[in-house]
Amino acid sequence: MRGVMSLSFQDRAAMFWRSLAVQGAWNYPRMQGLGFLFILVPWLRKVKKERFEKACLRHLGYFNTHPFLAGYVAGVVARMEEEGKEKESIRARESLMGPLGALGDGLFWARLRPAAIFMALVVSLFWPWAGALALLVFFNAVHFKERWSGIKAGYNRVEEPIGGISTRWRKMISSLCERVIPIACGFILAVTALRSGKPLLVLALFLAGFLLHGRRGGPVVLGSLLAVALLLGFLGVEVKLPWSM
Amino acid sequence: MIGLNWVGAIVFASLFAGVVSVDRAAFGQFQISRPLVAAPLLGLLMGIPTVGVVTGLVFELLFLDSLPVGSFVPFEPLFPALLSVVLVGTGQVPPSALPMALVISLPSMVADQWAEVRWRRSNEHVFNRAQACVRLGRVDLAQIQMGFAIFLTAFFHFTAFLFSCAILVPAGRVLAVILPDLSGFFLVAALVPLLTGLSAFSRSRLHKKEGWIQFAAGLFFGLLAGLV
Repeated sequence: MRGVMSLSFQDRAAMFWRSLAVQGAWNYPRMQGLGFLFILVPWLRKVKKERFEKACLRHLGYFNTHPFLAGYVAGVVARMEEEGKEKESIRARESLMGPLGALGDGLFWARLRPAAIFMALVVSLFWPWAGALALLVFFNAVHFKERWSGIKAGYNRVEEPIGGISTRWRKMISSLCERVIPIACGFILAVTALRSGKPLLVLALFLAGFLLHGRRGGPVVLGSLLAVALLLGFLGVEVKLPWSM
Repeated sequence: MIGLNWVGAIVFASLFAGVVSVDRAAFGQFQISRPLVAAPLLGLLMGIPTVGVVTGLVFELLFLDSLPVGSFVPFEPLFPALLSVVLVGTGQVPPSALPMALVISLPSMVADQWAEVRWRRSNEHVFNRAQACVRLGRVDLAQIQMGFAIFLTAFFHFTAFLFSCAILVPAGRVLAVILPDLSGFFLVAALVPLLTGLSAFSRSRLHKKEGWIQFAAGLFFGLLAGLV
């Protein structure tokens, strides 16, 4: 049985690079199945040699998790394949993808992305051009860290892989994003109100949206606010947009 | 983008849409496909950077809470954002009527969704071919299928964007001619996506005392920054 050190920097880099394409052949019956095998191919070629094709077939099945966390599952499976635990590697893949998918959707799509967008919007209020750059930097700093460290974390946590899902780092990021969003909302609202030239109108529209969101869905709120705004436009009310260009 | 007529500009923008769409699902997900990034980039390439930035901001806010969870394919703001830039960049709609361009471009979301679903379905064949290759011991050929699937994303989105342009660009031209200048009329409406996004996220976060304190802190610093 080989030790932890056998996952070299090159192996990890190859898995990382390939993990970027885990959704590349996403399809309804097998979802990320081909993408998951694509991550593992160089590693399986290295550790399996004469039983390489059989190992490939073993991991060309159904797979679906959050794309940023697929590296963690690949790390666990890579270690198990290396140690000859073939049946366990299939079980690990199947048992990890669900919890990681749920965690990833909540962390990356529901928290990190809105938080990064809100931070980018705050930046764009002062430097409109820097907004895009800010979004890419804020989001991808966490994204790349998760993809890169996930492979090694999975490889090292082969004995109890499920325990490596909820880490202190992920909890910290989640809690940070939860805090950033209301602060950024307040900040953007205040700047928008001041720059619009009609602060009371902006606050009234925000309040109407806030109260409506508790009772109606997003499209109804958007439609209602749009109708009011168009009516105001028809009556000749003019505001300034918050972005200075 | 000097030297291209409006047809050339549309083909170029369609290629751009195809390439950028790869980021959304097939490779990387670096968020280059978010309107906040893609629209300013296309605007810069077409020589209308300010239009690109405003379009990106508006569509980003409008679709802030659409989540690509599981197999669900939500309406995405990429196509409308890029199409708005194309409408102004090709001179079909004057820059002062940008809000109208934003509204005209909205139906292109349907074409975007169609391309996404079509790509996912076509990948079923790609997967089956890859599986056959692995069974025959040709793993390298299976990996080439993966590259082919990524190319298909760009192809379907390129086609869908070109189709959207073929319908919506002439529509924009006609509307810009027959309608009077409505920029003042749409001005308050331009704030609505921002306020809808803000109110939606505030509503979901302000159910605890802690959230209210953070929101108040943001308001305070925003007032300071706005006054300075």
